[in-house]
Amino acid sequence: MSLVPAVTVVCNDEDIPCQLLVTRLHIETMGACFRNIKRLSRFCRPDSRRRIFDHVSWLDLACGRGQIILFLDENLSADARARLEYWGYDVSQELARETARTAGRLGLANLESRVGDLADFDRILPDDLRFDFITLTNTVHETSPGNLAKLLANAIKRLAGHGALFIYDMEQLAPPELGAVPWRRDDVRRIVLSMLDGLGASTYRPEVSLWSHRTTTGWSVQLERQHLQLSCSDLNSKYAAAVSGTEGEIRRLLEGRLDECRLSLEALTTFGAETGEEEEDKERLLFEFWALTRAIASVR
Amino acid sequence: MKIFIAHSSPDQDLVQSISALLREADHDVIDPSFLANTGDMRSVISSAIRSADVVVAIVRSGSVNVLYELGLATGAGVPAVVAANAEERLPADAASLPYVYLSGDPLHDARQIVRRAHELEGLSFAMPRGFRSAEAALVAAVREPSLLDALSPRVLESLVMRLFEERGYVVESAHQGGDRGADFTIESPDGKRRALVQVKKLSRQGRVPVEAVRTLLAAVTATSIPAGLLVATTGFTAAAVSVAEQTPILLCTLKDVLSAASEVDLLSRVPTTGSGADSGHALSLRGQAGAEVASTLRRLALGEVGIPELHDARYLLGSNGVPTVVVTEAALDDVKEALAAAEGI
Repeated sequence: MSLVPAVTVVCNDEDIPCQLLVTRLHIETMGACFRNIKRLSRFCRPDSRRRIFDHVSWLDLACGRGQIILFLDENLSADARARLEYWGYDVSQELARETARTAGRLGLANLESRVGDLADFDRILPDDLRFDFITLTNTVHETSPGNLAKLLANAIKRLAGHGALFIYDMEQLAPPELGAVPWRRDDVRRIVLSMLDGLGASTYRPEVSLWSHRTTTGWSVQLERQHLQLSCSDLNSKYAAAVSGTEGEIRRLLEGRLDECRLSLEALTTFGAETGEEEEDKERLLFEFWALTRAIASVR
Repeated sequence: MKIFIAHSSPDQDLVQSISALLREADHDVIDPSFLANTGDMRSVISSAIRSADVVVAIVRSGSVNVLYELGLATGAGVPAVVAANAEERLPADAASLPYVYLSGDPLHDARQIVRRAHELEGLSFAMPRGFRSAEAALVAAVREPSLLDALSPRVLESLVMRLFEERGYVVESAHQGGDRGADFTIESPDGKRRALVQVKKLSRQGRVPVEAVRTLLAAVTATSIPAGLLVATTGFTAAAVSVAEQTPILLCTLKDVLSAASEVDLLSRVPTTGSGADSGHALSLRGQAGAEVASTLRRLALGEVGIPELHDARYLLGSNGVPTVVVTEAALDDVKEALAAAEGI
């Protein structure tokens, strides 16, 4: 039985810049966080209730230049922003500093930044730190598929009791990026469900939404910690098996896609491109072939 | 035939010429300039457009109302003809509609517009009027290219869906789940064969590229449906044909679908290849199994027998029609055992 209503969103917001759309999705997810926290506060002692309701902690993984928080002042009131404790994490110190400067102008309750490889964020952050809101946007395609399962599991592990993890990325990259593996919505669904099954949360079936933009389509998924119905110790005990199982699923997906890619390239090599579309496809397939070959080597 | 003429004031002369020709041929003309102003003109115009058999939209720069009325017509499934002079830039959405180039000679232009409007008579979204079935409408469209041109991709998809329903298939739209790889699913009347279907409308010179095959293949792989059917109004590139032959994707033109003798005839040509779990180290049972096992494999390929051990196996329908199961070396013994148990061999 699914705990979350199955909602697939197909949106043609072609006039909304991608970043603004993602920010809106963030805000809606954060709004859900606020509502969850309000519900939780009913069961807390009066003194702790104030503390819980005061702030929302947000970990922005691969924050870059803070593109996501650039539009926060358009979407959140000053009062709401004043309750945000923002943690920016990025591999680049320069970008992390730029994000910190942007955040500094928004009147947030607190601001922290950490620098490190995305695969290491769980080791770098203090052990006991949990977040109400974790985001990973426009980054999955750059993440080595060999690290993806662990990244997903660690992000789930870092969620507070009523926390939400929000992930967004594009199905295609235009222009294509060397080595990048953009995932299709259906692939992401399989990866997420594999992780949830591995953690023993097989009744939790979140939908992966699809978004249409002018030049590409994007997907997003939101995982809420409360719906896993797992204690921290249960989650820890199932962590290794869940990661291993998901890595296997990722490998199968990559190999399947490489087969498809190879078939198409073979056919285009034999018969040549007959249309303008096929001519464009050739380049994209070559990028994909390299990215998938490299990715499969990383998951073996 | 009732024809609504969307126009702006400067084109009044042309509209009068068109109206005169249409009335001579006993058609009704709706000129929005003469519609009674009841205070809610938007509703009046919308109703008038929906009641029309064809909309003629004379487009010129600044004619926002004409574009709005063209949009209403398209949304209501009323066939439309666009008329404009060569300097006009049409919106991309209207670029695929039947088009008349205005020469500046009202009588000549009126004759051209009326001729195109006649060609569109009988086509509409709900069911092309004058056709007793989707099959009849599609047969007419295949015979007359201008009729096919007039169908929007969405209307064509709807007609193909109806065609399958008329032939006894169980049809379910894929759009409910937001699936972009396929338009709908079909299940044969005997319930034994299922396929994802994607309908492609292209220009007469167009060819469906290999990426369309790959997109449908990805959709098939993501579901438990074993095959895909790509139906196109034109042909396919050689690369697309080549990839389809090696995957469970069947390529059909609209003519192929219309001429298929039966549902079995159409779907029996679909190779039932599933997605393989381990493609890098596969062993084929072909040639290693006896006739009895080959028979079981055929039943597996047709979905008549389910063996859990083969969940991740890949099925191929070889060029000689012999079903082949491709499995990993590690799974080979388990698979043989399961097959033997299934057939009582």
